[in-house]
Amino acid sequence: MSSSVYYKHEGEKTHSSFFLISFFCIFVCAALLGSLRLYGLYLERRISETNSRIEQQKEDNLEMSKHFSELLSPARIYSYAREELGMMNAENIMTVRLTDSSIGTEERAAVQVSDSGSSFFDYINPFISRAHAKN
Amino acid sequence: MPKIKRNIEAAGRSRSRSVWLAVYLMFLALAAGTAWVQLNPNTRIVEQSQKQYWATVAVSSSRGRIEDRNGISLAVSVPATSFFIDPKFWSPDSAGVLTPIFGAETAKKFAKPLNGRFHWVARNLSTPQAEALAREKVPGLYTLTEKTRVYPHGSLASHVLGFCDIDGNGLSGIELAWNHILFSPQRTRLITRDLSGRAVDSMGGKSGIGKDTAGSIKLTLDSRIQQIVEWRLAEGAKAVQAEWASGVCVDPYTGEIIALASYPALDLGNRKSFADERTIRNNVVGRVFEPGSIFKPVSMAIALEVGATSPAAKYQCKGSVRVADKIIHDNNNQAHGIETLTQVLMNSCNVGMSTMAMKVQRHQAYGLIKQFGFGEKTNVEIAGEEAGLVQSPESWLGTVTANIFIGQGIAVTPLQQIMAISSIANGGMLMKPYIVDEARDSDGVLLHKGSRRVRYQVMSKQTADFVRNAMKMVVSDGGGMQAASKRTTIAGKTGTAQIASSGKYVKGQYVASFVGFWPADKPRYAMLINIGEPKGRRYYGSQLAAPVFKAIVEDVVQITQNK
Repeated sequence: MSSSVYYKHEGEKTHSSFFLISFFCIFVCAALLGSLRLYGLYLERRISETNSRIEQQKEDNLEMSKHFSELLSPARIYSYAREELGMMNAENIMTVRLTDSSIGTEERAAVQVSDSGSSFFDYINPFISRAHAKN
Repeated sequence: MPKIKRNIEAAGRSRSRSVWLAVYLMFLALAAGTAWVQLNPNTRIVEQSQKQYWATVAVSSSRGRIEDRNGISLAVSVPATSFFIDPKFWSPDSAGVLTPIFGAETAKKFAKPLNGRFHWVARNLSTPQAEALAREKVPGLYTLTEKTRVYPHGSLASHVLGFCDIDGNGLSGIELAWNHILFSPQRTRLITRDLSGRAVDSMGGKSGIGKDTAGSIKLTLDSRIQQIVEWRLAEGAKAVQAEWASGVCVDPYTGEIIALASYPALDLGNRKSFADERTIRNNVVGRVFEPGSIFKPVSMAIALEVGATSPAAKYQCKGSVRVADKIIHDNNNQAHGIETLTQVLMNSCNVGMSTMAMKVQRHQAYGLIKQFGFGEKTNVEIAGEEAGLVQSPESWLGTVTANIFIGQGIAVTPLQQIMAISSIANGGMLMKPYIVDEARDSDGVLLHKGSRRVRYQVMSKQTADFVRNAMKMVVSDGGGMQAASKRTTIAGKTGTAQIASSGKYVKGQYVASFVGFWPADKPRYAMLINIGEPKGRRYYGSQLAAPVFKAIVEDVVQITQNK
């Protein structure tokens, strides 16, 4: 009788440890899963922030691209040249082709000619920088 | 006694196990219930919660870029701020804050109780305006970032570029014709609300998912030349209070459109101006007109090609000539006497051209006119192109052939006319015009490449050379001297056509034109200038269009002389 009591008692002790270990394992697993989830959320937030920054940079790029295009506007360059730099029209420049038989090549020369009969359209001449360079 | 003790312990252990088991089962049931609710939610509850916390809004996405041949952006999409109201958190008493920016009418609309959870207030506001209102932090009034289409150079090339609606769909011009490349489908923004009702743009940080699929377009336009043509054309048209004007410049050897301008200009920043049909029309491709004398180089080429005349031919002009049952007059009945073929063009002699026309069979003339591209669309990549009008040869009775040879009784678009003249400039090849140089997808892969295409060899090189020299003489010694420039040699032809309405020419309404190319010996550019319905005494092409042509040429020569 006493031996049978002993065996039952042994069996009960084993069962209780199993419960404890199971509980511990479940707790550890739950804690791990919870930590992983939290870490996942943290990473998601980081990714979200990074994507937001990328989006913001793209938007900034678009704005700058627009601004860059505005700076390259022919109308703006013309206005700047006239109003800020004081550039004047170079109406007295013309290009002629001369053939030099001794050299045998064709040259371009910028020759100043008088242009007394300037029309209204002659007065407003926006694209002059190259002409100034030639002069 | 020990037996009794043992039984008590055993009972205690049994109770302990039962408690644990109950706790286990309870957690298991909770877990199963949670899993069930999560995996198989009630759709009605889901819908209700979604309505309560989320709103799905379609917002415009970034549209593709349009740039000129030098890579300068002509149309880009930039971020803009839109405002919406969530009636749950909105108090109609707050409507007053909307008045300064959106006006009293909009404020009145939101000054009463609203249904639903989402109402647009205004879309695509500029940043300063949006920031001013967003700083107010009005409960129930929230912002959303969208993309809006902007044209950095204002109205430059407005008729070519066209415009879009508020959702980024192209409505005219390149924006419409190339919408399939430029358009990126609307992105869905999931608006989530927090406890205080503030909107959170939850898709904002996940732009990679909704990647823009818009491609890009590179045009053959040169924005500098485009600007020159627009300025000069507007000056010329305003000076005579013209109803409309057009200017188109092409490369005669490739068919590339270098500049395309239409007057009145379209202000892309002012959507109210879109309601004006006169402004919105692209006169280069969407307007047909009788060409008048600028058609004569084409007529002469046809006559030479069919053998109805020759470079050595001579014509006698007495100021008028009877053709069938009508008399065709020269300008002011001026008699030019004996003329060579070149002089017929130099004097823009109607009598000479009519005499020439009488020797051309109408079916031959019709076939060649069609081969020059008249009466059918050029299929340039711009929306809204007209085909013009060439009557079938069966109806060419009496003076019709002669009339057509002097540029009457035929309706053309400026683009058709300049392409026909380009064929004279380039040695006889009718080119297909094109304005899109490249179309690429969002990854930069080339989808379309515009290229030089010869439609027909419409005349021999000898004929082209002869007519080209004749046009050169028109400018140096003939009726187009107002276009002559010291900076380059210009070949061209003036034209003054009356405007027909209801089968009759309207007195006092004209189209003044000048068509030409430069340098005359090896043309780089061909250009047509039309000034329609000018007011005042001056209406001749030589008086109005030729000076504009000359001014443009001289400006263009300065910026391209080293090329």
